[in-house]
Amino acid sequence: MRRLNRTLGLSALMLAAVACDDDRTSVLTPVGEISIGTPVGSAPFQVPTGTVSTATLTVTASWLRAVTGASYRTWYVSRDPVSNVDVYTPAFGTIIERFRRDSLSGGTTGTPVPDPITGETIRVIDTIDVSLVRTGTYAGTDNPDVFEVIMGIDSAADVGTTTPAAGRNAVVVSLGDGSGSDGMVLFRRTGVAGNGAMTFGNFGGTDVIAAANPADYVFGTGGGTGTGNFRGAEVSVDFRELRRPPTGYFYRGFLVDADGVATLVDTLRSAYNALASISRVSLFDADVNGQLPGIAVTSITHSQVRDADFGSFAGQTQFILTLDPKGAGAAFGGTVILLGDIPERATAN
Amino acid sequence: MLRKILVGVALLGAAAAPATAQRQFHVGPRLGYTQYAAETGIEAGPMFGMDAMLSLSNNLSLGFRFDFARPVTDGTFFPAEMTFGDTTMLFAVSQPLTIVNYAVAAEFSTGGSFAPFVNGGVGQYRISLDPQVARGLSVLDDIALMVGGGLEIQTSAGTSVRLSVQDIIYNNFNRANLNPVDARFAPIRFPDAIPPQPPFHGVAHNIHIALAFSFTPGGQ
Repeated sequence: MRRLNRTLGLSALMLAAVACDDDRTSVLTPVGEISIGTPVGSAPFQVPTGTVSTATLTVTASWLRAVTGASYRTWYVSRDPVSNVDVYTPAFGTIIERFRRDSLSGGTTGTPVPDPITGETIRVIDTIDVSLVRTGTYAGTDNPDVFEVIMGIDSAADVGTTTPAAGRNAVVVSLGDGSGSDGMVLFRRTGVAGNGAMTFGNFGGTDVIAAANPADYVFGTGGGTGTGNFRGAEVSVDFRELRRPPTGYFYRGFLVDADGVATLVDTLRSAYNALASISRVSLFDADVNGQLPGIAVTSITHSQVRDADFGSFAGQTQFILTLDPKGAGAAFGGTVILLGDIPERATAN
Repeated sequence: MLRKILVGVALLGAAAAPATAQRQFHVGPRLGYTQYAAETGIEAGPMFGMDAMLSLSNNLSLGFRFDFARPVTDGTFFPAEMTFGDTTMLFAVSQPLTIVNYAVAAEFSTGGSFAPFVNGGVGQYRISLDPQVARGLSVLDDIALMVGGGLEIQTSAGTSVRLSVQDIIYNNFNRANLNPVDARFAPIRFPDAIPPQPPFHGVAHNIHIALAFSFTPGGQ
């Protein structure tokens, strides 16, 4: 009996030891530092633009930045009414770079026009770069003084017809190396009254010259939304429905401090995925590679710019997503597509 | 069904015992430490047990075992992300569990003062979730198997100390059933701040090391 009592007593002690465990008292354990979020929205950006005048089939474009190994070209697109096949005809027109001059840097002569950025009246002097005459291609420029470029001036001699506007369905500015796989960056369907603005963007899987079908074109520039998160030394900005960059361009993100000094965060990547092969894959080639994770025909459904160990955010004021031509240096200077302010609480880290 | 199996095994063991064997009843508590399979998401912890065995011969015993444990789940298997305005916080969400194992057990021993033994059992595991944390499902149960061995040292007449190591096998164990985090709170902004674990559904091998005492009421 005494032995049985001892057994029962020992059992009770063991049971109490098992049941009374301090670890059981807490069910929510904070992990790491808290994250401070901020919306990242659209910016008044200056993407390449163009207009078409069908009277002479002239393309006037702006902000065509230099791209390594590629040139801009103008094309006329005609659709064969029988075969329904598009025919692309190069437009070997004169290329004219127009430099912007104001009273301080260029005197008072020239045509008064509104500054495209400030809206102030400035005087513009047309300057013809002789070396570009009738080459049919334009290398682009990073010179901020180049106000616009006039390219693809049609003439009867160029296309072998005296009615250059007739039978043309669209005017296209492409970017590429001229090997036949140039991608479209500016487009306008001409039709009966085709004068007007061209659309800049990635036109999906059918944007390769000689394979394009105007009926499939889906246009768009910029767009998308983002949410930035700052957690410890990590910055992570998630984007939804960004437009695919036009051929020759890519996205990347910067943090900019109060003095305007920008620090590269990273090139745009696909969103995190538990499957490592499709997680945070660089979208540098999102312009031409539709097989990358998150790439839809004309958009990037989910993407991210992230640096897990950026360091301190002290002094940083903005996150900026830019559209840069491929081959652009590491320096900040691309077209600002989206931007968001960094919350003060995040800069305390 | 399981109950029928247990009763069947017990009757089979009793019938197989030699009629001439001296039958003695042994009972004793067991306190051990259980390292649950890493995939289960259950943290290691103490486990209390009780064994009641009937010697059918000098070498063969048959009886019942009972285990009781109160471990907690490893919260890093069950992360949650909560956003309030512009602030997002990450949590590892754990919960206390109540685990009960019970089984029909058989043991073969060499006999003597220092007696190595091997044993095994078949029964059921039953994991009760914390009703304050878990949603929906409250109990997980399925077939449990126990396989192990050890050493029994007789300290006095009718009393012995036993050291044992066992593999407590949980069949059809699904870790997702332990997840208390609603899908709304699955990490989105920082999905890998707490490294995600691959899902686990299958057989879990849990290692149980124990020190037990065995008494033979009125015996030698």
